[in-house]
Amino acid sequence: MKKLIMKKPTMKKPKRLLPPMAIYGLFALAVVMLFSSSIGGARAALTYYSETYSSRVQMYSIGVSLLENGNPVSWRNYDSAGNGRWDEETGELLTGLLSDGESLTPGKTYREELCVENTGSINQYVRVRIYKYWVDSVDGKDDKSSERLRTLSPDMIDLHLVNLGTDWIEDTQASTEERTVLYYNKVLPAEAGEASRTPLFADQLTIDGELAKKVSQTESANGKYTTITTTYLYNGVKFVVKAEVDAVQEHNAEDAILSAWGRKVSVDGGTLRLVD
Amino acid sequence: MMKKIWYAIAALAVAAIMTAGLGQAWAYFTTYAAAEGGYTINLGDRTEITEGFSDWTKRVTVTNEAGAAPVYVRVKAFGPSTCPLTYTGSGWTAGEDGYYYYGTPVPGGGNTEVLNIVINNIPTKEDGLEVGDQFNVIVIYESTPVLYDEGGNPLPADWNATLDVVTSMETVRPSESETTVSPETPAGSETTGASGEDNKPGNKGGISGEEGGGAS
Repeated sequence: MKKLIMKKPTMKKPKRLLPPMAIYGLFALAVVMLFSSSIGGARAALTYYSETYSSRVQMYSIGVSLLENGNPVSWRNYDSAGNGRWDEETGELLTGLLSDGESLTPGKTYREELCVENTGSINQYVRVRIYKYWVDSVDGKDDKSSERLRTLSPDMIDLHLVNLGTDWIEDTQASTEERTVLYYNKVLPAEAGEASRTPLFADQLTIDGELAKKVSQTESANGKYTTITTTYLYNGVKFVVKAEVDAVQEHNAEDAILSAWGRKVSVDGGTLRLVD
Repeated sequence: MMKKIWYAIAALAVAAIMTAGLGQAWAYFTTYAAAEGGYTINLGDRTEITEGFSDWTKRVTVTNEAGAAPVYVRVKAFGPSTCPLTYTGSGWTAGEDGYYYYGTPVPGGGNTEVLNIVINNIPTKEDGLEVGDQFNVIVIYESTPVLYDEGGNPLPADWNATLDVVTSMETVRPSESETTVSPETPAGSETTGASGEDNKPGNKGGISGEEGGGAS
């Protein structure tokens, strides 16, 4: 019996051109060359356009100052390095109102020119809150912790506001007898010289002379006499004028003002309007 | 297991929403600056009359206390109708109402020039006057604070201006045994006068040197 022997077909292994290690080496070399070629291209491009190429990162900063009679009194300017630091000064108003030895004269008008300057590097919108009130003054000394005298009228302190309606608009909803809120209705540009200053929002200060007629009286009967003691209500009290300036970025101003100041405004073509 | 995954996804969504809102608020550039200042008002004035008498003449001077606000002053004297009074003094002018007005404000620490009030037609024994008889010449004065215009210049005195009594009147009625009001009480911001005094800014200076002289 003849045995059939089935012979298994055998596949011939292809003959390798390169050993595996050589292939891996070539692959690695290709990768290295690919990276090297792209880096070289980038270098070439930079060299081609500018040999003195330098990189500069610009950080925007905001800053605002309150000016009295042309001189900065208070400011807060953030550092352009973006490190969260700022330059700040909180000064005092009315220090130059009187000359040495002069006492304040009710009825007399004094120069008190107030405006705002953009001292940052970005355009901004600004508002001013003005407070007028009376405080109890001990021996005529300044004491910021003195108690406010709410029975005395702030109307007697006449800080004459100017440019209302044209450059400044009053927020009558937020204003009270003691507080006046003004919005500058234009963008206040940065680094623009004189244009970085707003027009004046106040130019004069007068303490109403009528306060000399505001009195209280006390009667005391004594035998056949009656004594009437008349006391000036405004004698020995101190008036205070306070101005707070707020600034917010120009970009996305409507949302920024609503978020920062809680006031709904519309900004159209750089003109700010209050929305009731 | 799926439940936990959903909870995790929901928490992540909420956190993402809140973080997005916070990020937007922080993005706005804002800054501020503030300043304040003020002065103490000095309205108080305290005036005092000084009077000398000799040769049937009263010599009156009104002084304003140091540190007080400037005031205008006027003076008037009353005597027997048979003894007319004549006034002389630098800076004093007669008004139509019988007062003599000092023309310039009296500053704190200052005083008026002397106003001489001469008593004429002094009665004698021939007129029936006995030794010990008396008659009075009463001098009153008033002051009012100086008001100013916008330029800081003194306005003319307004003796007819009405005071605005803001607070309610407190009436004090001490017992009869208490000390009586001295006629020489300096006026200043106090008004000494008859009950029912009107509300005029002129501060009554009280009655000064009521005794003009005795019978000779």
